[in-house]
Amino acid sequence: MTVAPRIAWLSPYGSRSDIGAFTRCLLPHFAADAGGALDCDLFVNAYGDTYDSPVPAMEIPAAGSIGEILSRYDSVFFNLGNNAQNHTHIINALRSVAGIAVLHDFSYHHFFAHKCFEELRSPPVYARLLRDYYGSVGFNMALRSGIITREATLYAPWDGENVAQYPLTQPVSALAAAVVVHSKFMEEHVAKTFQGPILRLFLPSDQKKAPSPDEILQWGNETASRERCQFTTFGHISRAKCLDVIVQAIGSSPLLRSRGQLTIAGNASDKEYVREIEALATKLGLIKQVTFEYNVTDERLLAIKNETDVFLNLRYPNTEGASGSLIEMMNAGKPIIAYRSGCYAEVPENAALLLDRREGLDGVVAAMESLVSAPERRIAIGKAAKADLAGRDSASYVRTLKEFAADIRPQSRRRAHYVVPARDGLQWTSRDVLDEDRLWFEELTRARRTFQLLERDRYVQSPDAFLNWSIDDLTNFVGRVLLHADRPSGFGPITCELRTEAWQVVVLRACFPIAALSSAL
Amino acid sequence: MVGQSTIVYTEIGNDSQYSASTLAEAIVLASRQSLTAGQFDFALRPLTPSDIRRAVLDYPSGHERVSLDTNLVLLDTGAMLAYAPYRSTFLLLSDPFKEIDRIGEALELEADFARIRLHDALLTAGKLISLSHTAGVTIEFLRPGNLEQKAIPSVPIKPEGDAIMVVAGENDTMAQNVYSHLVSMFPEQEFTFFEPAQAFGKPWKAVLQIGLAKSTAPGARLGDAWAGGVPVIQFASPASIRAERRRRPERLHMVVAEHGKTGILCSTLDELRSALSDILVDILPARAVARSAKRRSDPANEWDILLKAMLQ
Repeated sequence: MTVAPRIAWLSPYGSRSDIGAFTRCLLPHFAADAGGALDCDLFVNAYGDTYDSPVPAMEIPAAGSIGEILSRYDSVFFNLGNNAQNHTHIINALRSVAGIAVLHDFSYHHFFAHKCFEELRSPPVYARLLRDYYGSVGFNMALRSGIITREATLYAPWDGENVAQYPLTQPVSALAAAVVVHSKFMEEHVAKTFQGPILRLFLPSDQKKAPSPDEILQWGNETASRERCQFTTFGHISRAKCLDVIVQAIGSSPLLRSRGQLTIAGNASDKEYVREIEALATKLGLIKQVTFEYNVTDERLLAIKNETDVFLNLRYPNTEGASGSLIEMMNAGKPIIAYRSGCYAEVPENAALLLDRREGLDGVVAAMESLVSAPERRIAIGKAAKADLAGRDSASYVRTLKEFAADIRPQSRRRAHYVVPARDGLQWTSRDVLDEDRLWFEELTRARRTFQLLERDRYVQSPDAFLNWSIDDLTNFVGRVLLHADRPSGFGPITCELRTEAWQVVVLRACFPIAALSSAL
Repeated sequence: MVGQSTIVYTEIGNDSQYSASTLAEAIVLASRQSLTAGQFDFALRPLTPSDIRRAVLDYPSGHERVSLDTNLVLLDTGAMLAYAPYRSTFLLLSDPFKEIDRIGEALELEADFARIRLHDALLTAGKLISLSHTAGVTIEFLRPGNLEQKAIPSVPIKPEGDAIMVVAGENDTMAQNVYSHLVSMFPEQEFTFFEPAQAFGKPWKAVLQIGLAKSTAPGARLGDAWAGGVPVIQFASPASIRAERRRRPERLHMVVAEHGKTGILCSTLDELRSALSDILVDILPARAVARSAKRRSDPANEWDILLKAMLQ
């Protein structure tokens, strides 16, 4: 009798994360023969209610301290997103054993921001993180934003337009032995720094309920004859969804005002932004044209998809490695208007109406008007979108994933050997690292140490900065960040000097009057 | 069944007055003789420079390590560098940052690397116990709330010698002046300023403490003289004693002798001169007081407290 390889699958598994739905749709396929049956155990990062599981399941311990157990599996998959509540335990587990990371987001800046500002309440830690991974440019970006100084905060870098330049993916991906991504755009990004195998897959099209072929056909017959055009956008409501642009577009176009109808459906995760959009619709006199539906059920969402003529999926800044809502919209067989950026740019030209964001509001208005006026184009684009998803279902996803896991199994088993905390009973040393793993191991070491410093050196007293940073950055760091942040009572010039000696004195001289420094020292 | 503990130490560049190996041996002895004998089981692991260099290469920082069956107790900078990623217990005899450059050089490690690794070691430590006030002050900022300040248990100095050990308190100048005065007043008597290397090497007739006994160096503390049964004569002004009582009343008994019970306390130079004259003629009254002080001294209990802090 052949024993099926055992895999561990770590994931959020509830309605609060789309990754939960992603996992739910994959789990039944692991035991299937296609690609070789796998014996799967599910480890859940619990946050809110969880779905029922078809495989054995347990919650991940809060500290993520299951590295040694996970290292016993043939393959371990870590589903990673940038939401701290849904992913902290998974990332903690990944820190202890290097497995296969399924990267759902392009940017992990939110995750680290949550850690630095909510958990640790330490702006200096955030400053050091950006300086370590993005050099002087990253550090100075954080300075200018005001988020790390006592000056007014001008914007949060993780929500800023330039977040794509500082995604902080590297410290997360480097913890893994291999990586799975869901777009070419993401693959290219990760490949710049990751020293291991990367598999490019796709988000399965059958993750959420979609209109049936008959319903799509019926829509095709009716949409041309309808006077009004139903626009819809759905998903977590946040500033990155550019809903203000869509509402303004309807408000500024007589055609859209008279024939357009917009439904905004989704979880009101950013309540301030929701209020802003509601107020904007009222101000523009669009109460009849714009409808809000919050926290809709799957059934209601399916009904909305059926009623829709055109989907809108604008995203800026784009922090996703792939868009679940984009796949859902394409799978509904309706046209989509989106910005041509990130993973959205990979949709074939005939399968969506892709805009250059630099065209601004006019570009959005023109795109919406063009689809209102051309129902046959709506049908053609929708049909192409649906066709583009052919073969991209959960069964195909799991089959390819199984093949990948089997191909890299010797390597991933070898890399999973470096469990931390390394117990003397399961001892390993850097002499065990093969030459072919050397670069990967260096990055793993760097990433693990980054997390350690984040958590244990919240006052940023490690000498690294003072030994490696430029004098200008040091001066700004000490003068504008470190000495204004929360710090242990009594911490000051003398203790700084003891820690880093001459370097610190140089910095302090730049920050304090010479007389004050002399008396302090 | 008690867990095994391993004390790791080196002697490279150790500028502590009380060497790591001395402390290591004292811990082992105390674990066998203290009130809790049998509860703790210690082994010693002295490291050579090549051991340290190999450990630095084998155990890169960032990958945390634990030694579950064997509690690692690290005593000096070399041991901290070697076992930096281990979640171990540190007993700090001195500020390791002050000696890191010298030790790095002795180990042929790049200076910045050694400094960063030492820092990592202190961040990873499971438990930090400082046996030195100055080390405690600097390390406290690194791990706020995670440092325990303890004293090295009393180490007996030998009694019945010929020389008088002079220990300077807070004011070196005053101590020098008093010392010069006494040398001229009592030319027959040998007075020797405290030297860490000599303190335990020979017997002493008495210990003359000038000022409050603030030094934490073994051999210079009142407790070391008391534990050894060596008479203590202390010259301290009432004003400084009052000030200390206000500031740190709980520590007063450790820095000021109790007249007639744990020492002979003199508040003026005339009193000191007179007390010394008497002692040089007849040491027996001073020895009687020293015996009383020795009865009050309880090094075994002090070791017990330290062992529990280390391992529980």
